[in-house]
Amino acid sequence: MSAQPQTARAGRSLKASTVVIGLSFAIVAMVTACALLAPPILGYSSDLNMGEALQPPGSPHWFGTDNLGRDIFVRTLSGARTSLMVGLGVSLLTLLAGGLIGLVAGYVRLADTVLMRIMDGLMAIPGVLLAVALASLLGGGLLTVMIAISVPEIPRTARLMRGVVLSLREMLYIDAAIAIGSSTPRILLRHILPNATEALVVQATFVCASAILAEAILSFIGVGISPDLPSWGNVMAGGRQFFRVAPWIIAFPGLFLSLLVIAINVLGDALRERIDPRLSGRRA
Amino acid sequence: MARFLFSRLLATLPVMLTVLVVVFMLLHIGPGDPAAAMAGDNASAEQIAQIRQRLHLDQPLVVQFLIYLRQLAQFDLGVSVYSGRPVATMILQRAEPTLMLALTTTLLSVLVAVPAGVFAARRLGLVTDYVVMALCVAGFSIPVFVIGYALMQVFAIELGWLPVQGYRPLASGLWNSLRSLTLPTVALTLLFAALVARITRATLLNVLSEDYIRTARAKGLPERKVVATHALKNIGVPVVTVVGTSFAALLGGVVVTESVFNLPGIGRLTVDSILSRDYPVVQGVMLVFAFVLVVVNLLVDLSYALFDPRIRQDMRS
Repeated sequence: MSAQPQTARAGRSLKASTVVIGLSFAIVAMVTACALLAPPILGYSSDLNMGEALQPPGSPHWFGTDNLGRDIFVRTLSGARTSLMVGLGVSLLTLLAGGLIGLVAGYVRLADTVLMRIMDGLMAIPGVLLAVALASLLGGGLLTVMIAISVPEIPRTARLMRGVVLSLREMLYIDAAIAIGSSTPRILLRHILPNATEALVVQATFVCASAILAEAILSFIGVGISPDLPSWGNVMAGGRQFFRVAPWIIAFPGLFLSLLVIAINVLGDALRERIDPRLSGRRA
Repeated sequence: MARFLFSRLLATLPVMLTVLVVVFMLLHIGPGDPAAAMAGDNASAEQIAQIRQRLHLDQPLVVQFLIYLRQLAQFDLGVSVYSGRPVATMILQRAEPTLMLALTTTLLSVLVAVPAGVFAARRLGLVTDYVVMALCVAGFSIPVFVIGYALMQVFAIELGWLPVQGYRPLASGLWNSLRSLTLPTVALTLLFAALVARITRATLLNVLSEDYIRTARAKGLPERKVVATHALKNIGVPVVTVVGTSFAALLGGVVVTESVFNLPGIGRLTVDSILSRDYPVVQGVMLVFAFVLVVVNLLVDLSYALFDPRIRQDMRS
């Protein structure tokens, strides 16, 4: 293969990646704007309006209405806030708990055996099943749903963090820190944690995308957030019974949710490629 | 080989013990009395006491756990709070649709994903590569129930080619059974195949940059032969690994897919039990699924010997 077509291909590839990343960034920005602005401007359309039930998309209900006459356009835009809050909340909880467990397991050998066996045990249960069972037991509030989704995500983050810590602890600067008498908490917090942040940030994007999907699944099954506070998941769940006559109840929030999750995954991939030079090298 | 198998089985013991503790503790982490929660809002004090006694919830926690272990040692997964039937029997009766769905999805996913990953890797940076990768990202980003309803709308409601919902058992004929599983399988395959195709592509790209591939090309072998003879053999281990590790996602997907397509499998049983707070059934299903995952991972480990002679040698020694 000659160098010229390869260079041209690399150039095209870079251009396409930039467009896709830009588009993904725009989608995330748009959804964030909806999450911030839609509830105060449009409200949640929680009031029942049976006279307008199951109206197809058109004027004045652009995305149609559900079986209780609630406007799907308003509930989809305002639902962005709940779905995004779940995504960000689960990312934060998972990073804190999984990051801490991985940090300790990677550095303290004795803790490693115990903690990672517990993590292996949690990973042996299908994540969706564990989250659904926890949500059902803990109740359907926003915080409990976040906790229920976080528990199956924590082992994956802990395992990743442990791997990063295991490689970092072999670095010369850690030997130097030990030699000058730094305490273990100081080494972990001042030297290892800052160097593991990049990997954690990338992981956070994937956890966020996965949590938004999980919230939708929990709501769909019937153990998610109460419909009084619309989320894309519970708006879609409301359309389950009426799917044949009113597919728009599932279609519009489903479209928004899918676009956001795709965008977050694309941004996560881009971030990972930027951090890992071996991955970015493959693009050419 | 026997020693390797023994050591791997030994390694699964702490994992299964953790699973047992987690599944057992599920009943006790919720707020309030688990017996009252299972009995429902309209239950009398006697009914609540009856459930408490039947599930040994009136005993200390350690005693309850020991009773639970003793029951499991006798292959007793407990009894449903509502139907009074043994959980193991309920799971076995619902196993066929779930096994069929898992089997057809795994087969279809591997048949679609591996060629798609190879195809994308060989056309790196071209439009076809982007299309395959975009489909992969979409596959694991779109909720399986959205895909399910979209497929149902087009192929069952609009075109009428396939049944909308429900399952035809194998006893009614293989063709009928497969027909009823077509839409659920395709919906679940999009998720599963996306994970496998991405790993296939990434692994093949790594392999294609190895020295032995450069040597094969330098000898003048055509690219097709380089990939088929030298590269594909070396992607077996990571691809089988991702099939194994993604099996958890597949089982999770089964729970949702069976609800969408109204398949009377273990996933549907789980959702029904969760909604009716029949926790002994939920615990039983979780335990069975965790056991299946541990066995699948064990089989994945053993299958490495098929792909890599070095691992085969290590296992023998």
